[in-house]
Amino acid sequence: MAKFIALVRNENLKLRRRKTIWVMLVLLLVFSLGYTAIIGGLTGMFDTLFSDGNMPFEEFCDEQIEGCKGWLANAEDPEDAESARIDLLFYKTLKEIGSDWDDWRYTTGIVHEYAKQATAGSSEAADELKAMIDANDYKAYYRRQIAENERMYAAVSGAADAVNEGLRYCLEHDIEPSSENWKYNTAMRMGGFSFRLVMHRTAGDASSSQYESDLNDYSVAKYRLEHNVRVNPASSFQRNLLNFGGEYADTNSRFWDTARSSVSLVSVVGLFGIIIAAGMVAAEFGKGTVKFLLIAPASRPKILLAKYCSLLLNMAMFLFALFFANLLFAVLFCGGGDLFLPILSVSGGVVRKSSPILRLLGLYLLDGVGTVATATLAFAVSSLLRNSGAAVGVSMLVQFGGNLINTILSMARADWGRYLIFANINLSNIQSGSSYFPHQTVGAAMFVVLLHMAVFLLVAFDAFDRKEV
Amino acid sequence: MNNEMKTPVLQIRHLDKTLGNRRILKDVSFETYSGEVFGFLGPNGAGKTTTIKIAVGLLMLDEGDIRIAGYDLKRQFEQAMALVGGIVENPEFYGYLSGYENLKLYARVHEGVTEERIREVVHLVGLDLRIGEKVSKYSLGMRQRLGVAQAILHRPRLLVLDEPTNGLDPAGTKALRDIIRRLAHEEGISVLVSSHLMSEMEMMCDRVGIITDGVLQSVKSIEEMVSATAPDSVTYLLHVNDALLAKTLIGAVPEDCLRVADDRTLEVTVPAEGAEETLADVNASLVKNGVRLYTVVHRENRRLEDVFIELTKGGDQIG
Repeated sequence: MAKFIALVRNENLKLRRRKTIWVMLVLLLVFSLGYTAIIGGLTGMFDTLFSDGNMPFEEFCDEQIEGCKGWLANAEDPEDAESARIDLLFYKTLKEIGSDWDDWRYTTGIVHEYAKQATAGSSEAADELKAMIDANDYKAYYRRQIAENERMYAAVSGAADAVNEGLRYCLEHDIEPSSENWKYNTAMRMGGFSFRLVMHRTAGDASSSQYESDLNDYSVAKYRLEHNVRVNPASSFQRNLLNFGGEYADTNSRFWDTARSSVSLVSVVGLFGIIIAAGMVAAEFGKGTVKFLLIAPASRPKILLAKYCSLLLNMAMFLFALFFANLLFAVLFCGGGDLFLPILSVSGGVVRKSSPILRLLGLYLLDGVGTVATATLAFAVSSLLRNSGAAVGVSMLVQFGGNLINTILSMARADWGRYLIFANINLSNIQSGSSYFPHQTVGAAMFVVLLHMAVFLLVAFDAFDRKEV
Repeated sequence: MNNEMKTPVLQIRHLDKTLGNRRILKDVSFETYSGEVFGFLGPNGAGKTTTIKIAVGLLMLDEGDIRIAGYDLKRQFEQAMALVGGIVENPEFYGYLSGYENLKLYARVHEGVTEERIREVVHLVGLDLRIGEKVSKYSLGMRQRLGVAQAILHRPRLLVLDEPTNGLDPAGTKALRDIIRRLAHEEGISVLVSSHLMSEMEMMCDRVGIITDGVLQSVKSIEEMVSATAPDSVTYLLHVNDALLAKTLIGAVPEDCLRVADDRTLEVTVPAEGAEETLADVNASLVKNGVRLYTVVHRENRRLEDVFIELTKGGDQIG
C-alpha cells in the first residue's frame, strides 16, 4: 500500500511539474469568472438598464397624460376617442392618488377598470371601485374579483374555485397585491395552474405531459406558500438567455439560476480530463520514459492503477475548484443573500426542498461521472494504442458527438441506443427529465456508464500488462 | 576468480523468446555471481538487449526461467525487481523534471532510500553541482551518469547496464569503469554489462559471455579466453628489398611457414618457443646473402577481439 501511494505521488509530481495542468486550472477559473459575470452580472445589469422603472412615476404619468391629450385631439372615430378618454382618466387618477410603480392599484389594473367603467357611464361600478382605490382596500378588490370569476366560470364545474384559489389565499393571509411581493405572485401562479389543471381534466387529457408539467408548477407554488419558501426570480433577460421558460417559470433565485447554469462548465473539466488521460500512458512510450517507469519493484497493473488514481484525483481537484469558483463568482455577481435560500425541485407533483450548495454539489458530481467516463475512455485508448491523438479524438467524439448519435438513434426509433454510453453520460439531464430515450433513470444510466468504464479499464490494463517494451 | 565461492545472483535457464516470427533467443542459460562483472558480448541484433530486457521485466519470456537472488521473476516479480537496478538502451528521464526529482521518483518506489543516500550517489557519479537542473538541459554524458546514479540508488544486488559507455568521453568512460569495478569487487554487487566494444570489456569484466544469433556461444573468464587462444607460434613481418629472393634463402624455417605478402614483405611464422633465436638466425642468413633487411615487425597477439570475431564469424550480422 505504501508503495502504491508512492506511485500515485510520483504520477502527481509528474503532472504538477508540467505547465499544462496549471494552464488548465487558470483557464477553468477564467471561464468560471467570464460565464458567471455574463449570466449573473451582465444580465442583471441589462434588466436595470432597459426597464423604465428608473423614471419617477409622477413624471411618467404626466408624460402619458400629455400623450393621451394629443391622441384625443386627433381621434378619428368615437371608439378611438373613448380609448383615449379611458387612458387619460387612468393616468390622471394614478397621479391623483399618488400611485407608484409597484403600487397594487397600478399593477392589478383596478384603476384602469375604474376609468373604463366611469367613461362608459356605469357610475355604480365606478363609485364602488373608486371607494376601494381611495381606501386603499385591496381586500375588497380581491372579493370583487372572486365574485366576478364565479360569474364568469360558472359553466365549468370547479373552474371558478380553481382560478380563485390564489385570490382566496391572499385574502385569507392578508397579502398585498404588489408585483414586488413574492407571495402575491406565487399565489397568482398557483391559481393560474390550478385553473389549467381543471381545464386539462375537463378536456380529458389528465395524463399528458403538459398536465404533469402544470401539476409540477402548481405543486411548487403551493409548497412555497405553505412552507414560506421565498422566491427571488431571475431577471427576465436572464430567463430568456438560459431558456428557462417564460415569466411563469419557477426559477428560485437569480443566484441559483446563475450557479446552476454554470454547471455546464463541467464539460470543460471533461475536456481537460481527456487531454490529461490521453497523455498519461502515450507520453511515457513516446518519450521512452516507460523503461524508467517499469524498472521498478511494482507490478504493471499497480503502476497503471496509480496512473488512473492520479487522473481521478486531478479531475476531482478540477471539479472542486470549478465548484468553489462558480459559487464564489455567483455570490459576487448576484449577491450572497440567496446562498442558503432553499431550492425546490419537483417530480410527479412531489416537491423536495434542498440546500442550494448541496444540490449544486450533487449536480457537479452527477455531471462529473460522465466526464470521468470519457476520460477513462481516453485513458484506455492511450494505453491500447499508445497514441494521445487517437485517445483525444475518440473521447471527444463520445463527449461532443454523442448527442448527435442520440438524436439520430432516437429519431430512427432505435431503442437499443439507450444502452450506449452516449445516451447515459449526461446524468444531470436525465435527472431533470430531458433524456433522449423515454423513461431513463439516473440509476440505470449510472449502471450503464459504470459498465462501460469497467470495459474501458479492462482493455487498458490488459493492453498495458501485455505490452512488450 | 573462484566462482564456487560466490553466490549466483542472476540465474537464467533455457531462455527462449520469439518476437513476431523471429526466434530471438534460443535456449540461453547462464549465471552471474556476486562480486563479479559479467560482460555480455555480441554483435547488434544478437539478442543482448532482448536478454537484458527480459531480465529487468520489460519483456516477457516465452520459455525458461529467470531467478534474481533466488526470486522467480515471473511469480515473485516485485521481490525480484527490488534487487535489480539497470539502464536499458539509453537512460531516459523526464526532461521537465530536475535530476534530483527524477531520482526522487525512483527512490520513492524503493524501500530504504534516504535523502542522504541520494546525495551520496549523486556525489559518486559527480553530478553534485548540476543535480537541481532540468534533465532536458543535460548532455548525453550527464544523463548516462544520472542513469548510473538511478541504477545503484537502492543498492541493488544485480546491476544491469546495457551499453553503459555510449556517449561518454574517455574520462567519463574511465570513471564509470572504476565505479563498476568498485561496486562489484568492494560492495559485492553482481554486474551485467553488455557491449560491443571488446577492448572496453577486456578492461572491465571478470567473465564474458558471447552471444550470436540468439545462441550463447561460450562463457569464460577473461584469462581463460585469452590463454585458450594463446599463440603457439609467432609471426614476424620482414621488410626486405626482394621478398621472393629472401624466401629462397631462408633455411632455418620450413618453407610452408614462409609467405610472401607482397614483393617487399615476407611473413615468417616460427614456433613460440625460442622464437627470438630462430628469428635471429633468419635475419643473419638474409643479411649474409646480401638481402637488404629494413625492419622486422612483431605481429600483434590474438586478443579478445580476435576471439570475438572468430566466434561471430566475422563481425556484425544484422537481421
